[in-house]
Amino acid sequence: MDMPVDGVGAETPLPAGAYRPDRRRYHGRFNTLGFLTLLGREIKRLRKLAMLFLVAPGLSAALYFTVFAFGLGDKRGTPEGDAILAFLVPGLVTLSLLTQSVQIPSFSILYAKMEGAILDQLMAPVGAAEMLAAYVLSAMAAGVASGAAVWVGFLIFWQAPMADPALVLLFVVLGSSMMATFGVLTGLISVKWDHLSAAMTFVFTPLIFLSGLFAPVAGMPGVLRAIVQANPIYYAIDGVRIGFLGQGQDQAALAVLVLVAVNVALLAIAGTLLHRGYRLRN
Amino acid sequence: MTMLQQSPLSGIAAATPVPAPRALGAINWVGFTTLTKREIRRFLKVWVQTIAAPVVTTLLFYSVFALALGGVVRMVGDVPFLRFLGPGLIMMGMAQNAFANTSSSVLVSKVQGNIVDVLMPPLSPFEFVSAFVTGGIVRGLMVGLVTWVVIQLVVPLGLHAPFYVLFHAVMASMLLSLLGLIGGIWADKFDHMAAITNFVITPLSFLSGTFYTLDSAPRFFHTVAHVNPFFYFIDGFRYGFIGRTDGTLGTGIAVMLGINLVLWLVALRMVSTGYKLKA
Repeated sequence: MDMPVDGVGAETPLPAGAYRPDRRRYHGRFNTLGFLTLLGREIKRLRKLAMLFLVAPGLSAALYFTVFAFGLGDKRGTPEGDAILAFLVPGLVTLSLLTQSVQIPSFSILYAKMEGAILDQLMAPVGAAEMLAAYVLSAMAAGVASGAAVWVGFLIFWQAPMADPALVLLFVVLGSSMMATFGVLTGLISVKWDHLSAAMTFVFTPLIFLSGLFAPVAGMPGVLRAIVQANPIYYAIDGVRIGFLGQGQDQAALAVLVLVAVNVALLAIAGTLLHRGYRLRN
Repeated sequence: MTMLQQSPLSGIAAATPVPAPRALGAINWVGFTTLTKREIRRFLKVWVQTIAAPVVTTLLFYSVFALALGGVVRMVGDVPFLRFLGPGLIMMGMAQNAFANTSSSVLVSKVQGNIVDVLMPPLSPFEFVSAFVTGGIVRGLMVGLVTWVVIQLVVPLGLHAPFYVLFHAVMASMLLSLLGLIGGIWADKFDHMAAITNFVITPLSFLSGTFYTLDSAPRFFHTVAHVNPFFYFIDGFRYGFIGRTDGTLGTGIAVMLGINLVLWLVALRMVSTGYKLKA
């Protein structure tokens, strides 16, 4: 107990939450407690959304797979057909990984802004680094859980052998952190729900779909191939696929390089915007 | 009327004629057209989300699936795969948006509380349901028309029987609008609506023979397709373009008319009893 300051009776303790000038907290350079608290809140949010980011992506992956399996026509059941489906599996796992990684933080930030609850964390001694880390890590957790659910589904109902788990993990981390940071940026820039849904429909869904998700880049016409190869998401999907199928390792180094560069750039932009309080503090 | 004229205020009443109660007739046309206009303006105001977004998504699907499933060279029967796929995707877009229009309109009104604005006016259940369904059909047709025009520029789809195209477009949009209306009345939260969309509408539209012909699907999925209304309207709609069906047109038309009739009756019953609307 701290002593009363100017003789206001030693027997009456200060009420909870009263101003105590002698109790100064020092957080150091990184407020670990603040970071963990924010991370914990985001994870708790996820628990409530499990239906949305585990079950729904699992179902849509199953639908895509079914449609492709039947769409193969005569090739179904032949080695060629099986190769096409095996090619599809890592793509569908990555599809739900990336989609959830970008949706979760953008939704969370915009919702907090719309409801005014963002004040709770702007008032607290939580800086840009802590906020960014908490949002990105929780979104990555959601993405990984969602991708893992799809993967387990394939393991049970079809087959999903993983040739190089370490490589898969590396690209899962790089890909989901890239999309999570994209999500943080989208949440910061958006002011209305319309902006968020426009970003998903006109930016992220096309980026994710035009990434060699369903078809090998080698078979694409020249212009389309150039577009796909300029898309950073292509490298995440390609990397995960290399890890799953164990083919084309010579591409892996380039993919890692691109993803690391994009991650660093995005994290720097998002960190700067959070630090300035862009569309948060006004 | 006579009571009023004999009242102590009869002097004033004589000066200002007592308004007669408005005769609405068998159908309240003013009410119906007003609500219909509101339903149409509601989605036109945010056309980027309600028209442009679904068109872009459909085109994205078209290019991705065309590329992945064998592209230009593949044939389904004697029809190029691209011509086979186009009508199905147009229909998917129409159906999903007709559903989205009525379901979101009713649910948003319920959540925000302004549903009373349409419950208070002298609208009969029939006028109420018709106005919402017209809004849904108009949205479905607009999405379908824009998608068709854009696809037509790249891949000429041909037109075998325009009547079948129009008939199936209207019937499917009506069916999904009614489903959306019923779903919107039933749902209490946006989560319920998301669940219906994710677990009912999307699977039905994917497992409908949009992307593959039934000849190439296993036996079990034949059965699934034949109890799926989406199969009939995609099949009939596609027939209008390419002149080839997986099922029989007559059965499809009968199934669609039957389901529409049942859904109309359910929707009318819900509105007239005020189920989850007036409680």
